Amino acid sequence: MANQTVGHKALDLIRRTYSIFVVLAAWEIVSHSGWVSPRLTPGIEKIAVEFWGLVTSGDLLFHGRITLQRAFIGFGLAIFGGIALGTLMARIRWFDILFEPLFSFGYPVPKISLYPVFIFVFGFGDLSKIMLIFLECLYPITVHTYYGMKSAERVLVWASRNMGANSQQLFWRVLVPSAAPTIFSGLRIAVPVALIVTIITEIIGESKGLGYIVSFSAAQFEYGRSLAAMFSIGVVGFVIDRLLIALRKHIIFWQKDSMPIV
Amino acid sequence: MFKNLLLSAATMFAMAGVAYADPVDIRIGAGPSADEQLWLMKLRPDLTPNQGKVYNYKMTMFRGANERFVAYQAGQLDAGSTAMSAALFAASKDIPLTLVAAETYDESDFFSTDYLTLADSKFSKDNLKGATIGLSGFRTSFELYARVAVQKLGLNPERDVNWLIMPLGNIGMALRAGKIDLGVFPTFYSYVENKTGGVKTAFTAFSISGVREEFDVFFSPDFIAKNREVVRAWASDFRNVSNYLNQHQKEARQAIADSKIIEVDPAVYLQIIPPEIKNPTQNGIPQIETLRKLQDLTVSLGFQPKKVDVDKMIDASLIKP
Repeated sequence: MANQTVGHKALDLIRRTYSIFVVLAAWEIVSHSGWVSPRLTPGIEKIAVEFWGLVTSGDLLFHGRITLQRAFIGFGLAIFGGIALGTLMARIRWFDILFEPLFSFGYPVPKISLYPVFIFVFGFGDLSKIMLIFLECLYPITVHTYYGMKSAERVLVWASRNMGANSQQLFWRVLVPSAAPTIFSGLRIAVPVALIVTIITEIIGESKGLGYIVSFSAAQFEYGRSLAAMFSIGVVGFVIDRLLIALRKHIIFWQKDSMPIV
Repeated sequence: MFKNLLLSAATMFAMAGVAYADPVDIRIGAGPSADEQLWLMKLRPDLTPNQGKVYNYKMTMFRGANERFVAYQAGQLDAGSTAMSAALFAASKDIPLTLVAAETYDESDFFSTDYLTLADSKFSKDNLKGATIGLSGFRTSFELYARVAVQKLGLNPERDVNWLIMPLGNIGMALRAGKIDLGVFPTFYSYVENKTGGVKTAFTAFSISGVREEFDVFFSPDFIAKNREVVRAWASDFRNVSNYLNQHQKEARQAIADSKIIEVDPAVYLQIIPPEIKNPTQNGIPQIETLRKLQDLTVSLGFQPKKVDVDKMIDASLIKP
């Protein structure tokens, strides 16, 4: 029985991850096929060697720390700002009238194109990057918070009012728990956005951070090293996402058995 | 006599083969500075008698040499312009290329690279610690000479200065806004900033290194092997255009400014014409001695990881008349 459980778990793991191995196999085939220059598509073994080089030289830790610092500060500010703004928009009508069009109109606009403006306002250092990360992450968090708050079941609201709940109790005991799953969806969407924006700003003009490693290595024709840095970014994003899922399971404990895809 | 007749007949047949075959596409990458000949070959096909007959000239503009090399490695270019130092770096990374023609060199009548600071800046060639340096790309000649300046002061380029990459056209704005402390300015951009005022030259590429940087055109060795006569025809047209540029600076620059192939103020671009043009590049022949001296510099700085056989990098026979 125990063996069957282990077997099932192993099968489940393969089922969840086999696509990664398919992609890696395809990459290896293309890399060794001669269809594309092997310099541009180095083999996985070369990328692995370069990755290990980044780890042992201390570059991964040094530049990774800088990248994560920027990403987390911007993301953290967006969490507070986005949840607050989304809540106010959901609860106060004139807030909704004032801000909802800005978010509807501005959501699809690539805010990264404002980076030159941010540079001139905040300088080339960390602040311009953090502010852009904040702005990009603000949108999904605000929108998800707004719709989360709005989507609380009316039956629950009526029931709590009938039981004598005041506005504060209604908010914390009904609206927030109702909105929590949707808010977490917004956070899960915002995390990769934070990393992407951080990397792009570091690629555009920087001499520190994982994005700098990606662009500088490519400039040196060391595409293996560049891809190893990209792999590191992927690993970091994956770990943060899994941590968010674990946090979600803990906070929204009543939904343990019905995890949404996002 | 019979041998000579035979040779002439063979040559005629070869040229006829070239002349009557479909034109071969030459896909060439150019940049936003020092590529006047390449731009003119596109803008003034009347100066290139072989274009359209022996070869089709397909020029693509790239922001920097690095982007050109990426396209080259991806098989999207057959040729491109490059600084010799960037060519050495690429060759040291086993990227095959052959230098076929020379466009210009640094501190010539046509091109120079200046490194400017604000007039009241504390930074200079004797003080660069903590400076933020604006460049158009990594592993370019622009970066090389900035590194020379930094390392001459005993500073560590990775830790003691900051590097910022941005388009050439934005470096002036960034300098005046105080976002960078030192910026690289090729000829046109340097002229504009000096004319505007409030800046000073910290050093130039030549003054800081003592080595003359040359700007060349490279071709893929495979392409040359398959299309030698085509490349020779291109080189002949390149020589024509270089002579035209020497003798008709104003008209050439006017054509370039009008075409908007690079974003320049025509009024300024036309003012950069030097009063007397000396022969800039020894008839367009890449100079092996320049390549050797540059390699000594780049290897000594750690800019180039290993030495390469520079004799194999140049094929001057194609450009010689």
